[in-house]
Amino acid sequence: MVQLKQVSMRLKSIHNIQKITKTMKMVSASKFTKAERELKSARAFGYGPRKFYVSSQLQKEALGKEKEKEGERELAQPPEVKKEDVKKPRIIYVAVTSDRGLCGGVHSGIARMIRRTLAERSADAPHHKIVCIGDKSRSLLRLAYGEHILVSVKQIGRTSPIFKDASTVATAITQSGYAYDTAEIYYNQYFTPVKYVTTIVPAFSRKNIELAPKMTAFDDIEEDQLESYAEWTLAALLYYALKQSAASEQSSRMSAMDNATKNANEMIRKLSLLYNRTRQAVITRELIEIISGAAALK
Amino acid sequence: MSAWRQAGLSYINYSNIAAKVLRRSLKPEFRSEALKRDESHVRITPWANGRPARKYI
Repeated sequence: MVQLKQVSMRLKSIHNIQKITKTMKMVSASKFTKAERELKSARAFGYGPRKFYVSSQLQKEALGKEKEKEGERELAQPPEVKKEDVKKPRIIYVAVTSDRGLCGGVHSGIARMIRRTLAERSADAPHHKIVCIGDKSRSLLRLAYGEHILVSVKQIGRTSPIFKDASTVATAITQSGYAYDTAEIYYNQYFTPVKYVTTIVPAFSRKNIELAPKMTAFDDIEEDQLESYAEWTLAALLYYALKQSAASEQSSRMSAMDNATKNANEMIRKLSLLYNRTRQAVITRELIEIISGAAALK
Repeated sequence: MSAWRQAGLSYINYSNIAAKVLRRSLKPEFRSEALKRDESHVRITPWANGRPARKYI
């Protein structure tokens, strides 16, 4: 027989949990609308560099095509990096997550994808470096790839990301002294409130941009312009990725919290049924005891 | 080579300084909003040999 007291305590705590999840849903809903609004203005930061990569043929796919393919993980890897030094493409993997959890599979999807890629390219493992943005990716990747981590970034996702954040991270990457060829940014591309796709966007170093097959198509380029551009693209793409991942994180948290609230509702329904039944049973038992006691006295 | 690069700044530093100046020179009603975008709270931890090397820089 279930104890009445236990059931009522359980019921109360689930009520509290439901209150919390409901509030978190509201909070993330309002943060989400803000993130989505800000994402619109950040789109240009991602579009420009990627368009350039395509038109200079650093990257094969056209932008439209890339969007279809984004689910699969094949873009990245410009052809000449492979030819040039198959032995050691120095790649920095940037995992864009945040500090906060409770948002479904947003962060673990990123970590899983990086793990898979690293496992595939395990031959040149010593040349891989990881940059963890947000506590979540750090704790997810620390065990397996601790010695590859170059820089970790904290306090992301508390407020909505600004360009200064992205530039701080980009500066930290450049100042870490690791001469990379490509930085692959792993982030969640936001599509609709119910859809996000884990995506890779590469950011090439200056050397790579100089070697791009169609570089001659661009007129009148000085050397330090390219350097500035390479520095800027890294920051811009990071900013774009941060914005995208912020929007998909909030949308995912919203639906996760919605589900949690529904689950709590379900549990409350079941438990209150059980509670009422148990109470009834207790009352009935007591009545039977009283009546049979009185009958025995006669 | 431009003067700011000779001074050891990267383009990101340079453009951030430019943005800061621009934000400060806005009209007061826009300035306070824009100044919020001026400060970043992220903390960077460099790693070495599989563990955080130094505390925040």
